[in-house]
Amino acid sequence: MGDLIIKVDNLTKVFSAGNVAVNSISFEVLRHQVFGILGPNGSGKTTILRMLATVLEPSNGSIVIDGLDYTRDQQTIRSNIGYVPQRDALYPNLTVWENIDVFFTAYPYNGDRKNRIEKILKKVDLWDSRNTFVRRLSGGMAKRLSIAIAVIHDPKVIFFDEVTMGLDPVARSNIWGLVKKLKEHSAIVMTTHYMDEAEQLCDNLIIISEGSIIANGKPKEITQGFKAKNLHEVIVKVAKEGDV
Amino acid sequence: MYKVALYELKKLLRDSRWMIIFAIQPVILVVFLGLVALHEPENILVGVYNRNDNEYSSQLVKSIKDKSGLDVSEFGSEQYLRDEINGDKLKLAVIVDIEKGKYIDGQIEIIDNSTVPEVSAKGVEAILDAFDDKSADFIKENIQTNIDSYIKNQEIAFYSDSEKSLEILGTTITSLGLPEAVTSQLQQAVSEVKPNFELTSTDNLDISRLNLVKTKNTNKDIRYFDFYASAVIVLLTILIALKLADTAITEERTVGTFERFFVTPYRKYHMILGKMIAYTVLDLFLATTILLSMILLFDVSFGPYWLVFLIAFISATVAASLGILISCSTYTIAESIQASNLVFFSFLILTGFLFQPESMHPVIKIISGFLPFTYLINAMREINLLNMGFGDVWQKLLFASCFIPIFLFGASLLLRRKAT
Repeated sequence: MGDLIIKVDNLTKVFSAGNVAVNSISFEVLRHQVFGILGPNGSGKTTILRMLATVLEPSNGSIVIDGLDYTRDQQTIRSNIGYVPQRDALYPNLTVWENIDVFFTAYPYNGDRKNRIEKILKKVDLWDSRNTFVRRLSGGMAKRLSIAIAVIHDPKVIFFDEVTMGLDPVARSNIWGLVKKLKEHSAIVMTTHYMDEAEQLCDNLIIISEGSIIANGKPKEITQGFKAKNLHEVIVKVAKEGDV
Repeated sequence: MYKVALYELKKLLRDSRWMIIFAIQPVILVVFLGLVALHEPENILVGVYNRNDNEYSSQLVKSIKDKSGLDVSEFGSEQYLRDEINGDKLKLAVIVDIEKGKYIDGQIEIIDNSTVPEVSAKGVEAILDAFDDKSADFIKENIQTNIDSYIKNQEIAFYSDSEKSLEILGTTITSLGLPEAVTSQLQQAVSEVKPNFELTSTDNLDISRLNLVKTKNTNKDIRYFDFYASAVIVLLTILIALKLADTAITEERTVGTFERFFVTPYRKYHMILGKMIAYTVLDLFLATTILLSMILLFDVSFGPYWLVFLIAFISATVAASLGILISCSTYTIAESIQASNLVFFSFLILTGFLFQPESMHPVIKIISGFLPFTYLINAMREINLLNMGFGDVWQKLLFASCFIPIFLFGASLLLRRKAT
């Protein structure tokens, strides 16, 4: 078994209206692993991801990231994680370079910051567009910039929330290439609605339904466990059972 | 924090449409206000009834009718005149009652319907009252309530809102046929009285002995607009600066950058102070634009420019910090806008700009006394109208400035970086 980077125990989220979005789930993520969180709409995927990324306060349970406890060491955890939200969440009136710079400034960094930004922009193929205003970027370019911002400080864990949603096949393929590259340095936790993406990228995954884990393992093991041809069929089955 | 402020400023300044609106709105608002308020009143509907119809009274009626700017009608019935003024169909009703040879008993009764400050008759009444017993009685009878509210400090302040009312007063005095020395004395008093003057009483409500005195050392050539201009500068800067900052955080929430920002090690104060620094820079521009518009377009009478600028700048900065507080305590842009509208119009009502403190409920008066903008408006008026200096207003400015850290601290307490 590989080196553990995230350990989640009995994680629960109850919203103020009494709606239980996440119900006592536990799982582990290893370093250099792409970990997928799948499930039908409204199953609690994004809520889990947002709690891991310190955006949302859990109601109960524990999260340990790289040995740091969520409740005690949030600020240190933030220095070690990157988060790519579902929306691009960029400043349209700033350039590509400036968007990275404004967020990079938040992190302590000993090296040459300009070199680091240059390196990342080249990695995501945006170097030539560094002086372009974000409002002029295509959807795929904006998504790559969003990823660049999340990884600029070389985090140990990167969270992707439906990162390829709304992109064309070429842009999706580019993002997949990026995810594979990033995996060499960081653990990646992602949610997605594209099952082919999960099969291609995820080493391990959990399937969530109504806030609870109903399957946990490698994509092939899960497919076999549900006696399905692929993950798409698994999710359809899960959704139907949920409706019943 | 420097980077946050710098990029906040860049974000705003690069939005060309936003920038145009931001830059021209103070000028447009100043122009509108100036054109509405600066122009001297004309065609004021005045009704005159000549009670005695003698040489002296006819002379007065004629002089009033000849006066430019007035649309004077002579009435044949006193009751009809009273009905017209009570029915809000006239701006001013004048009942002339002068008896031949009895100049000392000459009486001119003027009824003000109190709805149009441009032709406020209080100044006229006050001066006439001070020189004959009959009109003094009239004052006692008709404006006793007014006097009661002012007399507490043994000092009565009547406000004459326009040069027009002073012109009427001057004509009236000449027409009375008083001895030359008395007329001259009265005219001198009138010429010194600009929109602000006060009556002081020396023996506790003996109206007949009221003395007309010039108010504190007022600036020269103060016009009707100048009195309002001081408050308008403060209120315009508050309005624009408040609206500039009131969606600062909620916009970040809407776009999603707020969430991204707080997944980094940035802390709340980085965002709040970063934005505050950016808005402070814009506030410098705002204060400059408003003052230049007032000076260049309308030649408003100001005290020392640096001090006027300082007050405008403090007003804008306090408003910006309040805007950030509102933005931190709301979750959507619509919420922020509604909240800031509520706050601004509350201030407009409570600062005494529209209504005099004397008419306020005691509790509201206390609240008004704690509002920073009340102090800023008063300081601005004292600088511009009363020739006061920094030494006279520094405490007011300090009090108002203290609200900047208070609002920002409140903002950091109310800013929820996480959903619950």
